[in-house]
Amino acid sequence: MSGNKRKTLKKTPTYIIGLDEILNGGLPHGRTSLIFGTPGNGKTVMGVEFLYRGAINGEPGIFLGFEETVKTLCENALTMGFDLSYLKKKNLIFLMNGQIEPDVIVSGKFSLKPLLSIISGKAKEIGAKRIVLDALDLVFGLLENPVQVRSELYQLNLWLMKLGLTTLITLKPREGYPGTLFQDYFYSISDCVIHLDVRQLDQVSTRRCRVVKYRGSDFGRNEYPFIITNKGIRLIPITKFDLRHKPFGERISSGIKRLDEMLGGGYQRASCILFAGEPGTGKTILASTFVTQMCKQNERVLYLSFEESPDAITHNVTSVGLNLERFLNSGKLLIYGTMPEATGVEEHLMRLFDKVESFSPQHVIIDAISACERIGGKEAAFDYLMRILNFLKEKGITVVLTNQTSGRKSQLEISGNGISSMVDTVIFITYVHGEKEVNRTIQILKARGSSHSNKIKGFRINDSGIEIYDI
Amino acid sequence: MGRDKLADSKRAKKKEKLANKTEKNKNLLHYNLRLFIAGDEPNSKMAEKTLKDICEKYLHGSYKLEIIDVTKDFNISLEEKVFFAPTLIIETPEFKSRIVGSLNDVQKLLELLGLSETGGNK
Repeated sequence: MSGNKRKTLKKTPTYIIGLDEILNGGLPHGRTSLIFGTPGNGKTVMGVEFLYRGAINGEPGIFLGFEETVKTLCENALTMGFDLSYLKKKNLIFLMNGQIEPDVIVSGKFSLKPLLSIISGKAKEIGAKRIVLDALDLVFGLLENPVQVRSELYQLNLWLMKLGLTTLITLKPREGYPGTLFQDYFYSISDCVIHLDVRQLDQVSTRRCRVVKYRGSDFGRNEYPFIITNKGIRLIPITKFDLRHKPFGERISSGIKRLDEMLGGGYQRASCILFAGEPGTGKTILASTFVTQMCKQNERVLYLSFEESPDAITHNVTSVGLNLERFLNSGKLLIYGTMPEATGVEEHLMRLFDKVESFSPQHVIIDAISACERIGGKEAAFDYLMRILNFLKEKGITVVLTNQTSGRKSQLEISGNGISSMVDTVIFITYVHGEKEVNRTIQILKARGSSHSNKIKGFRINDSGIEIYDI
Repeated sequence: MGRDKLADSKRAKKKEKLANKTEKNKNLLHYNLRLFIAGDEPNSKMAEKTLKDICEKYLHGSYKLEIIDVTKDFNISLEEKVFFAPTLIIETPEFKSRIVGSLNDVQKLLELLGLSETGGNK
């Protein structure tokens, strides 16, 4: 006996960003998959995108919709940039409006033979490899009893498999059937089942996607938030199959010589550094000093501000002798200001991902992560930060986070939002109340993979920048 | 001349008969019936037989029946959006309706043809 007897399942990529990753390559090739969810959850969009992306990648497809008209379908698809009419002209896609008239009368048993004949006829005509049957529950709802539903569904599945089509069925839950009997039949013919839902979380609605079953294949088992953007569905796996973080790179200067010494030579490239401290301790200035240092070295920095506008940031730091404006002008620095409340986690993520993809920075500053809770609560903030850090670390980008702490017990909430496992270096700045004055101190609480000073140093800000001194 | 008279009365009788028939047909709409079947699937066969019987019994020639086999040409079913077999499409100058299934309920079919109240226009 020689060779590996294990055979991996052939997959059909959906080409939907993020989805193929959790499907471990795509949908089962030449078989039936199911998207299940209540109305408005994005089932049709996912189906249309599956076909659109297939068609532009050389796999023609058929869309059979039992709910929407072809006209509205094309119009809606166009809002995401999917020009279905063009693909239709090119014979790369066939759209059929299968709305069943509400006054149709049922008398006796029937089969789906004409539907099957249409599918095979059209599949042969355009050489289809993919098919979407949208709102198939409307068709099967006409059948008189569950036994018929089961047998017709079985026939349909056999027929589709014979044609070698990779099938995607969308389905709503149906009333009038005991328990989940109706969907159970659909589940049984499907090799892969995806659930979509929309949930309200602290006033912000979040779409979620979950693969509940995949015969013969591994898959990401979490719930994955997604959004529908003007470019289609975007889905970012929270926890991927493996963490592919890049190792830390060489030392890079913080912009402050004494701080570099405390850190054992500076920050480490591609690591995650957190500045924690009460309001006004100088976190933004510390970050801006680093920005200046990197831009001077001709490296690119993306500054994400949740608290101040780009103008306010550049203006405020001029008082300590930092000139960020010239880096903005030379294109080394991009400051992106956004209100946490403006939108949900997914939209925030996508915007940042888009900025990172288009600007390709070596370093990203997020000021301040304490504001992230305003996106939609603690859970959302955690979700958001974990995924950002994961994304940036995979790209080998250095991340600087600032976190605003409050009160005396601030050390306990330093790395806040439960992300401490992702943070490699923590720098803590605090006030020390003396008899006649209030001073600031700086210390390094954690520096992963590196020796560092355990000393508490004085920290001062004057018109030429930050000064660190022995106390 | 007697022959002429005979011929005349014959003609008159015929005319009367014809008039009677048109009188009958006046009450009867013209039915355009199209039955979509799937090869020789039992449900399709059953519908075809039931429909043919009814046409003969009740429609007195005032109909056009077309039997279309969907397995032979999918384009017609595509055009007419016929997804189920058998499907009967009834068209009259007054109404249009569509019935899906083996037509196992004759009374229901007569109702749909508008024939049940008058006892089937006998």
